[in-house]
Amino acid sequence: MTAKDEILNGLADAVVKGDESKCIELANKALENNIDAYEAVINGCTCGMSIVSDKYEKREMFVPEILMAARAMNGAVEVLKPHIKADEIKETGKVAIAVVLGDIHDIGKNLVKLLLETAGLTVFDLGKDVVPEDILDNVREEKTDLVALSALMTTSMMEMKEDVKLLKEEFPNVKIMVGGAPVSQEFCDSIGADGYADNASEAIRVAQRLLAE
Amino acid sequence: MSDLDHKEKVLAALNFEPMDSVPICGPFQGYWGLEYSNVSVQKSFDNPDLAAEAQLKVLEKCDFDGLEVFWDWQTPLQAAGCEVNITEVGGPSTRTHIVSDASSLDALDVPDPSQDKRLKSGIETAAKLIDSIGDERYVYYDLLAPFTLAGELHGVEKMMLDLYTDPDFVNALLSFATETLKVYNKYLTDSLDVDGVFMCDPTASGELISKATFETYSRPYMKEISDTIKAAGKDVMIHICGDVSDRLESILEIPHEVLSVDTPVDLAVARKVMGERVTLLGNLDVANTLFNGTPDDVRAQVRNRIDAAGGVGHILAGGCDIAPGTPMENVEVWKENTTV
Repeated sequence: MTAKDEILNGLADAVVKGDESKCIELANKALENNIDAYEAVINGCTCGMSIVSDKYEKREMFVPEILMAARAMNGAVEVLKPHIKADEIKETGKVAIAVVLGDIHDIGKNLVKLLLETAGLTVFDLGKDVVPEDILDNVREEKTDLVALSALMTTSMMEMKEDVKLLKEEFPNVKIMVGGAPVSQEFCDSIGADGYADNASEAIRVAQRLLAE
Repeated sequence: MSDLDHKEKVLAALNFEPMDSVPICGPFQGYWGLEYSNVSVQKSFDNPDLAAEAQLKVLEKCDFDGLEVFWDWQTPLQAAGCEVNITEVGGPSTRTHIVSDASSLDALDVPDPSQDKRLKSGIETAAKLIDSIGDERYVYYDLLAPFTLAGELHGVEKMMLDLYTDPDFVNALLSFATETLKVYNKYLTDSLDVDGVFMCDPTASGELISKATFETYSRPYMKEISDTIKAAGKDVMIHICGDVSDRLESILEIPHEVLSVDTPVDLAVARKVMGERVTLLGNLDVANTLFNGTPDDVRAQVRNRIDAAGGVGHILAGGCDIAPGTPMENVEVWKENTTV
């Protein structure tokens, strides 16, 4: 293994282990060893978070462990960000993510946001209990490609239906994906949304598929 | 069948006695019942009579053997000083999490349930229901579990991270939450002549935390509350949302009579693990089948669940809250075919 591989693998590993100080140490070491900062983010940090996402799907890691991994990763990214050349960053798509009106449960949405960002997408986090107008405003102003809607409560699912209707009316080309405990593929189809994911890791795959269409 | 059979049916399920048919309950029909009768949540606080009538109407149609008589389980949060959103429908949600760190925790006193207005109104509603049907139906109230209460006081996501970065603070917060719930539970038990107490810990779900985390931060504190409930002579009923398949054995260490499992849990598997130590309650799919399905879909699922649980030591119910807006016909049909 080259010194570079050792550092990048070490960085990915430190992300998975949620070791913030190790992440910062290795990020600095990457720079000292003239490793391209963007490459360190992608092959170190992002790689680490994909492993985390995988482990989450396999029920080997849970929310506390993911949050620790995210914290560790952010430590490394803070070190590397100032050294990334602007023209290196590939624009892979814009996603707006929101928990629908009336619902304030946002752990799931935050997990998906984290993984979407790690996958290199530009994510607009509209927050929770979001009125439809704010989602429409975002798509209008930012030319967002994909809207991701989340709900934990069955009562919020009707809001999702309304959001999809309004979005499709004004922006027929925008893709919409939905998720959250009470949501199902059936429900997604019935309201005219384009994609459904039943967990955060699956959500990234669905997002990437919809953006590629 | 005489009215006395309702409570006896539930007790037979608790005692693993052979039965001709399985008893049924929501288990959490409170908010759904209010919405069905167009009683807003605020109205239910202002008018306990209306709130009680709404539940009796549900009982008339669904003929549950057991009834949730108190469902406003999150009152300690507002009583402790959190701002909450009271919506037309469904449980209030926490808007501000007042415990940010050790010093804000130190400054907090255990809230006094006798000063809790929402609690007072909920108790009035429950008392009316118990007066009306408490002899013939198995009645219970809902109680928060410490892990979930702690998460609401501090912010769930923050607490999840603090499990690793500041475990001493989390344990102090959990102790405060446990103390608060013991005080609330005593007040509720003294005020209401119920058969059981339904302790709910949604954030201890398998979707959120590992079995190890559950065993360290949820279980010991739930056990403290369960010991208190049992000491007061009431049955302990436990509900944890989501998939708890990996921690069923673990849950056995909390003394309890009834385990309410959500849809992802296979009742046949749960039966194998729990044996005859704990009565199983559940687990119809509230979000999909009950909310969006047809009565025939529900009928099929009712049979499936009764067969899976083995026909003894089982109370048929939803896997979680019956969502407000669920068609009445999808719940009315449960009673049609509960033969073992």
